[in-house]
Amino acid sequence: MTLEGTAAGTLTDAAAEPPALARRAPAKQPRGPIFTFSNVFRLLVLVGLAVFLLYYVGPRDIAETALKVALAVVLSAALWVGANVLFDQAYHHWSRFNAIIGAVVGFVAYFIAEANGALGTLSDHRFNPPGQGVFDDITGWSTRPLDINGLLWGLIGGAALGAVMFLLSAPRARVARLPLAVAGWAGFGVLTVLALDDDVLPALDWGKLLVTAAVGAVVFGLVGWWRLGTAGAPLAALSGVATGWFIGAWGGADIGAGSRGEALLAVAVPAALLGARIGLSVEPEATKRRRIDQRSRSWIFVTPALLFVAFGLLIPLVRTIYLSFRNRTGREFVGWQNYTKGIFKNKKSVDLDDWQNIFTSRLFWIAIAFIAFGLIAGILAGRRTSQTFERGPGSVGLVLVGFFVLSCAVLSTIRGTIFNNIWWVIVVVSVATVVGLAVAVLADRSKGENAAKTLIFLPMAISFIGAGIIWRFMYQARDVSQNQTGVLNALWVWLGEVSNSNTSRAIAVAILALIGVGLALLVKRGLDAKVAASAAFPAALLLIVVYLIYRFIGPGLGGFVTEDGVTKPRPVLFVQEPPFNNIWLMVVLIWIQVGFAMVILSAAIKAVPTELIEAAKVDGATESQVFWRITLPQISPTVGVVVTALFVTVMKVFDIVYAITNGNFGTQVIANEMYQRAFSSGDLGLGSALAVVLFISVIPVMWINIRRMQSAQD
Amino acid sequence: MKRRWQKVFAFSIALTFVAAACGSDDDDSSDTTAASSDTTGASSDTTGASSDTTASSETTASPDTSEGAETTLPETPGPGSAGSVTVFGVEDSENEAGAMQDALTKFGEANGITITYVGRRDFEQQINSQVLGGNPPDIAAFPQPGKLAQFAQDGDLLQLPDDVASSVAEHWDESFLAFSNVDGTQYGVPLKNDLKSLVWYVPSVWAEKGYEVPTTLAGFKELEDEMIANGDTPLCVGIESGAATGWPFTDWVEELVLRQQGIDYYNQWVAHEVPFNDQPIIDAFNEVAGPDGMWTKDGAVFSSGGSIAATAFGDNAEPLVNGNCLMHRQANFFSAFFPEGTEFGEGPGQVSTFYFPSDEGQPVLVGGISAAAFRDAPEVWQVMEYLGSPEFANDRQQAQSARVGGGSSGFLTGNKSADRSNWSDLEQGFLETLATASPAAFDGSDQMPADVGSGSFWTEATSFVNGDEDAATATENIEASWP
Repeated sequence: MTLEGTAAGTLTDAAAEPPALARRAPAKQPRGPIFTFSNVFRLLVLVGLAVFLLYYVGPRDIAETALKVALAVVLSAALWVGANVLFDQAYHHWSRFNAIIGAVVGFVAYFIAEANGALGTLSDHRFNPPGQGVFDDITGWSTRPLDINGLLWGLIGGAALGAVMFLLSAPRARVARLPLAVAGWAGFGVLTVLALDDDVLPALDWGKLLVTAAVGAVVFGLVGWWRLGTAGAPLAALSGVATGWFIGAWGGADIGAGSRGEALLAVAVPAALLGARIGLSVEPEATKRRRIDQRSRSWIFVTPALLFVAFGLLIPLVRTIYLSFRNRTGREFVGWQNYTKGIFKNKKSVDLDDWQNIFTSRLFWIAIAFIAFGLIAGILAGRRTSQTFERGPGSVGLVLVGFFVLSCAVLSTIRGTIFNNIWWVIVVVSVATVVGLAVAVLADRSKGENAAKTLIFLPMAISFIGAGIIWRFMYQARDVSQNQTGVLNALWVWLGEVSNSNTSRAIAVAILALIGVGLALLVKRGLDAKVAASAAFPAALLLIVVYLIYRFIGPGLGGFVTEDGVTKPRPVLFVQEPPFNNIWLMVVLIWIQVGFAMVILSAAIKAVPTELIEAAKVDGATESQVFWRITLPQISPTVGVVVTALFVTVMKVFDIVYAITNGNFGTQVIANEMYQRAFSSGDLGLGSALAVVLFISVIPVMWINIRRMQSAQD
Repeated sequence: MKRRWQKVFAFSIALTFVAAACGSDDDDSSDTTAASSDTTGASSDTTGASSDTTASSETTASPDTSEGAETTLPETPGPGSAGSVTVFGVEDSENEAGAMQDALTKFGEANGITITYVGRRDFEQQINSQVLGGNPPDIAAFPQPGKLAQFAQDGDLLQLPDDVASSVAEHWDESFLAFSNVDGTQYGVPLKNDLKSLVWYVPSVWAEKGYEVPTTLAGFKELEDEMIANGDTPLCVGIESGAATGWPFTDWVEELVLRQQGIDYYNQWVAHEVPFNDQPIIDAFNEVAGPDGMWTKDGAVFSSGGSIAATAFGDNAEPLVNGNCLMHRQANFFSAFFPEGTEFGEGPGQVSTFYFPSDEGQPVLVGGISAAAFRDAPEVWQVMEYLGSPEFANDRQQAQSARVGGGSSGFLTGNKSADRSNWSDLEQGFLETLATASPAAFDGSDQMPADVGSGSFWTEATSFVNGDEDAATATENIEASWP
């Protein structure tokens, strides 16, 4: 795609430039004065900030956090450098490499086991490290005497496994290798059994043990067969048996009730199996060692990221799916009940009772009319340009509007959380994309483009929850006897006041008429210049003005009603009147997301080659034809990206509903329902099931998007 | 290159500062847990170096001090030794949470315990994730017995030791202790009560218009009709309350069920021994907000937000004072919602309350907070015992009264031994009503399981009041949602 292209471009540019020159060049420039206003100002601000933080946080917390940060940085750096240094050994010093790997694995395994209380006590002596108490005054830590058992066990385990691995990698003959490996690893297993604390000896459950061992063999064997071919499968299956055996022995066992003999079976057997697997494999020759050396680098870099993805994404995902089949506390299996009874057979989520009313609603027939007119217009216009279907605002536009109205007609009749979400998706995605596209096209290369775009983009900077609260105030209603404090209702009632008094009505009509004349002139100018776009916009405004004049003169406008001869204001309850209160909530999200659609589409429009447009114009294409036949096809991949991004955002809409209605008045959406179920009611099962439904409904769109990106790369 | 390093350095320093600023709270809590888990052994052999800490540390209520104090104490931690206790509750306002912390600090300083109170409005959600995440507070102050019972049944809560239970039982009536009693086992101690069966009004306005305080429920309804006939608006009602929208309606229904069906039926209803869509419940729904109900009669209700469902419950205080309506039924804590400078009493322009009347007996709907413990440690039980004691009631009332600048504090207790002279005249009346309640029924929605009590009962009530559903459908939906 374009992104890839630019990235590659800049890379090559940078490479082409002689780096030494580029770096030296700025140093030659004469230094400017140091005490310029901006420098001093910046310094003052920084110092002020530092002093404030020092005062606010206190030196003790700062010292403590600084120590922690330093420790974390040093540790990560040491890990990273250490890993690199370790793999440096793989090519030239194979034995050393193996010994270190063994030592590290042994140390870490024993250390972790000791930290979890699995190993016996070697020494009751508490060790007072030198320098204890040094940091106490600054940090407030009172250093405790160290328990050195973990360290001791770690050293023992590391030495043992390191020695085994060293011996293994030293001999070159395969015959000696196998018994050596089995004996060495089994010995390590026996050592581990001896080290185990009495409290953790397992009472084995042979059924589970054998099942997991078999599963391990099959899974690992299949993976090995897939990755390495027939030769690799038995070896992989062997390590699978060892892994499965170990997991089954400890996972299925009753910990603490067993004997040391059973522990021997649980530890030494898989260790021996693993040893056999290592012993059976051939000592890697030079090329293979070189590959280990090289391949390791990418893994060193990618492992931290993979860990984050695993712990932040994959494991929660698996656990959520698991929980969605369990009851409210997660303690019992309930099958599909959360999905059936909780979601799809629940009247609150899926309510199809009133479906017949669709056909009696006015919106439905308006929608059908729009679609029919659009189709007919497209076919008729197509005859003139010898196309089967002429795309243009009069055809495609009408059909789109028709489908939009149709969706509103259907989804305001069949109700429920799921349909609300679908409604949100249709309305917000379509309106935000179309409006964003319209703004991008109309503002393109016109005067004040940047100002207009900035204004429309601004709401993007407001958080969803903040926007929700802002708009709740906008929609607020007050009792008729009081002043309206919500902006929209204040306007509405004010309009009602105006249209109810003869003098102000006359003034309003006069002002509107003036505006109308001005707009009509603009339309005429646009038509004369044959620029459809500059005529269309004032024309639309003119229509609105004409409609307003009609309402003022005719039936009246705004929030006033006359009942029994008494005229009183009537505010609109935007948020409380279902089903169309949903639309008012969607307006908030549209308000935020139009800016996003506009910015991306605007960039795409600017990337359309001018040659194409000019060529079309030379051939006599109108503005409208240029847009529908050239610009739109050119930017269609970007439209796809915008639609996908909006789709995902809208599917998980939560904050706006939470802030304005909290799902009351028929505005519930899946994400808010999920929050209420999982966290208010404490029903983990149903909450997880809702999360899974949300996840699954997003997958197809994500998949399509990823496929598109991949095909664009090829 | 040099400049870049400067930037990296400056950035990391800034990050450190910010991390320290953000992390300070967390550090406190982690330190507290570390300190509390180590009370058993770690204090035995501390070195001389750390006694410097004791000398240099200021006497602030930070966990560091408690650790420092540890070193000066005898080697074996006996009763009254240092420790830290966290109390987590729903009260989060400056006055309520502040007074709570004041009282706890006073007790903690006398006994060498560092007690931290944390109040969060979304307690109901937070406590779930804290317990599920294996990181519960030492003591949680539950506003909803239903939630307490749920944790007790799941085995997360600890049973009250006998000595604490008997000491607390001396000061409380059986009916108050019952709210934290699950299947015959006492898990918690009551520490605060709300009196719900109150109607707020302005006596001077009533005197002027010639209305009298009704003494029966029938009289209340007649008065309502009389006011409407005279062109006055009798009630201010609003049920909007953020995530808890709908709860004021549940109170009304409970009052009516309690008054018309009696306490036995009420308790059966709350315990789900009768279905939620039983006819008397549907009737109570309809009597409040059904066709021609107490809220739906023409001209019966002033709702400042345009409709009942859109009006925040707190927004009813100002219209009452301004004379937009004449009555508002709400609990005693509503005194905090009146505009600043509102005086309470019978004088001109002053606001007072009368008991929401009943045809028979004097049933009272109460709410309340009960504390229950998640950690078994001597200092935790010390604090629990204190929370149920009259000393706590007095300490907290004094602190809260001082914080609101005298007058009605909004804090009430059913503790028999509390010193009533600490309370204002108006609130002494509330205490009297609490003490003479016959019977006292705990807020029903708070006792129901969370799916209903803080879930479907609220949402269905909102739909019903908003006119989206009829009473039969609403109660049927609630019944279906009962876990």
